[in-house]
Amino acid sequence: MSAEPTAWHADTATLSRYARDDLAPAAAASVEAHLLACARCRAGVAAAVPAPRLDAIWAAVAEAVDSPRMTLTEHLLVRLRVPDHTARLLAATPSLTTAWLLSVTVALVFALLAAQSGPRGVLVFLALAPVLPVAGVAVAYGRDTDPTYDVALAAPYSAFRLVLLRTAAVLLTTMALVGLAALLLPAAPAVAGAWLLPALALTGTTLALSVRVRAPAAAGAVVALWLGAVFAAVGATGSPYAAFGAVGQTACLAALLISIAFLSGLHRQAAFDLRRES
Amino acid sequence: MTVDAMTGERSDPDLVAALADGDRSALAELHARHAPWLILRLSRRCADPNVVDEVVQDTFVAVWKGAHRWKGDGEVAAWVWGIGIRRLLDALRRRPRAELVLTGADEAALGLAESAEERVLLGVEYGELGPALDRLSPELRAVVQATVLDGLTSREAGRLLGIPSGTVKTRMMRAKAQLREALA
Repeated sequence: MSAEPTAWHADTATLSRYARDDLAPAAAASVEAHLLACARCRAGVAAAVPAPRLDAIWAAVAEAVDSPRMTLTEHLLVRLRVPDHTARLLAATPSLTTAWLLSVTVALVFALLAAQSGPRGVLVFLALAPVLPVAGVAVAYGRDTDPTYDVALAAPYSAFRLVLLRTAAVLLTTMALVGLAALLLPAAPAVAGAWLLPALALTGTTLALSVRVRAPAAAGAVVALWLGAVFAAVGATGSPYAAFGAVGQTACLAALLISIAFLSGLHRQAAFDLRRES
Repeated sequence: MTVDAMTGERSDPDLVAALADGDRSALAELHARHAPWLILRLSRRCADPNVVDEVVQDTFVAVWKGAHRWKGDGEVAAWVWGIGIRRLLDALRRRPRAELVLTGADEAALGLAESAEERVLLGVEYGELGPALDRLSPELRAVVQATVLDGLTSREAGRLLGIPSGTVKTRMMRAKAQLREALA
């Protein structure tokens, strides 16, 4: 090669004129061609770019490179114009993962199969259905199950808002699944929909209780109480749907309203602090 | 691994190879070496510094993600430029034309990727080709720059300059004719 690219170097004056955009087109072309091949002259023009500008670009690159890949749920939420930090916190909800939704589906399939055996089987479904969202809410927030626990602690969110946000998301998805399954119940619509109010009531009560005790404990207590009441009602009256009659539904409505009133009172006081520590 | 004996610095190809293994410090080093000239060169093609910064960011994120696609021959700088100029095209396509101000004479700021052309152009400033290029109208020079020197296709050049690709081709023909005449 007669013209080794690195044998020629642009002089300092030419480089700084290039950086100032002060060269004739052909000369600028010459410099640009040379820069592609010459590390020394590349370093020579580097000083022309202010360090803060470079630092800002690097910070953005580093952030893009470091941020974990978005999950499918997160993509979907961002598409639906949910702000991306909210989307991340929501998508990281343990009970919104595919694994969780799959286990809810499996539980529902078994309950549906049981329901085929008659009213007692339908009772199994109705008793189980409200438990699912409660379990979802219980694992939706906490040190044991939440991979973003630390992130959530540092997030610009009150714990209360995060809990509500996640509870809403869990309720929506879980109840959609339960609702679909209920359509397949071999029972009258009035019976097939009887789980709806109890589901809301149990979730609300769990949320209210989790102000004082950890969410899984609150959920456990509520579920135990619920199942106890259902089977006690069956034992007392002999009718499988005893707990889902007018009295039961009214009690559920009352529990729901009380917990909503309690929670909104807390919100107003801004005194909500979920018991996350042991 | 090629390490400069004097400075202990890794070569550009080694840095790109390290990227493929997830080496963040290699990306930082490549950014330090290549972001400045890339900013300057892109600024000659797009007058909006915000667009340029965004494009440079995108370019280095693409370098990080696409390190395994580097073929391992040629200049890393040329590879980075190839990514950068196409990211600029993408950015320009996303924005309304009105927001863009291609800097007048700088539309014609030339650059090239091929070493053969490079060797020819290294003598451009003092030879006859330089003045001949300078005498081309800005429109024709812009087309020469985008196609011959920046290595874009007629379609890509058309997008960069905001003209149909057919116009790119006819202007290129006119530019060649004028250069031939000037050098005859």
